[in-house]
Amino acid sequence: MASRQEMSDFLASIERRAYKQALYAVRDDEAALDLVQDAMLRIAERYADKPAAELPLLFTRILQNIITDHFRRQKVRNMWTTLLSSLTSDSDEEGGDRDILETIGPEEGSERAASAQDYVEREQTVGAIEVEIKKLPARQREAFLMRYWEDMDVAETAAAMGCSEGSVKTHCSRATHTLAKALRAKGITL
Amino acid sequence: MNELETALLIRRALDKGAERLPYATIHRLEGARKLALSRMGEPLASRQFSQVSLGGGNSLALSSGRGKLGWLSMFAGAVAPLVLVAAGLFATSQWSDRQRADEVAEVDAAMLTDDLPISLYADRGFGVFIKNNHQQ
Repeated sequence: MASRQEMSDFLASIERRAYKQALYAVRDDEAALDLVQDAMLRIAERYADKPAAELPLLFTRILQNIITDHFRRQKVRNMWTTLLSSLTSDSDEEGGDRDILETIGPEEGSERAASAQDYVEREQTVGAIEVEIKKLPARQREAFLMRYWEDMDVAETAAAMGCSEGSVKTHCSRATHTLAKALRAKGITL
Repeated sequence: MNELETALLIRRALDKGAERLPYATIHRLEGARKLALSRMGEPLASRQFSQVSLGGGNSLALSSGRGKLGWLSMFAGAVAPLVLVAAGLFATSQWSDRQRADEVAEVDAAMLTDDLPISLYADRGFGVFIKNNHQQ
């Protein structure tokens, strides 16, 4: 059973990556924060009796389920919105295409120590990578982030995604090639 | 550069992005973590739905827990109104019966003391009323 301290350390260690993952998926700051909060509440309330070692995989699955539920709810909401008014659906699409660079863009005046140009280039590279990750198909993005960002092995990723290990490898390979190609096209060298 | 090397370089960039979150976002995440820790194991004692705002405008989260007492309270919540309605119907029925008994007793007393007008005995409705009440 995970102690309070273990749970606290675990949540602190994954909260930023969890937020980013949710943000890549839903493309909305507030919604991403709400989803992460919901996932945290769920794991603390329902799975506090699990060993600390099981928490990462559990949390990943919970977050993925919550994101999927979010999209289901959004789909139903959009259906009713479309039925009731075609005008509001246009504004939703505009909000969904918001550039992630607006959220994590370079902060002016904070690059005194480093070269301003290097700093801006690094920020642009990070921003460009995040934009390309958002563009990936959902399953490829999930597989790539779990496998290479969450440090989950192929079996764990397959279990979390509910698919075969072969599918995970295929998703990861395609995602990596797509990202590399897109970044090369933007003139970004890793 | 092979797939793994590319992935690791991308991962490094993602880590940098995650390190530089806006203060408001970090604050919200911290608040969410504290809230989750305060609810650790809570559904074993109760089930509740709550709305939580962590200072971020429309940041609402619906959380739920499901425990034994939670189900009991839900059951009690569903059954209590039915019990109240049944008790209300029973009380109304009792009151109505007592009212009718009083009316009959009043008429009987009036008949015995010859207080009723003679024309009332010729009224068909009154005859039916007497007949019905005596059958009961």
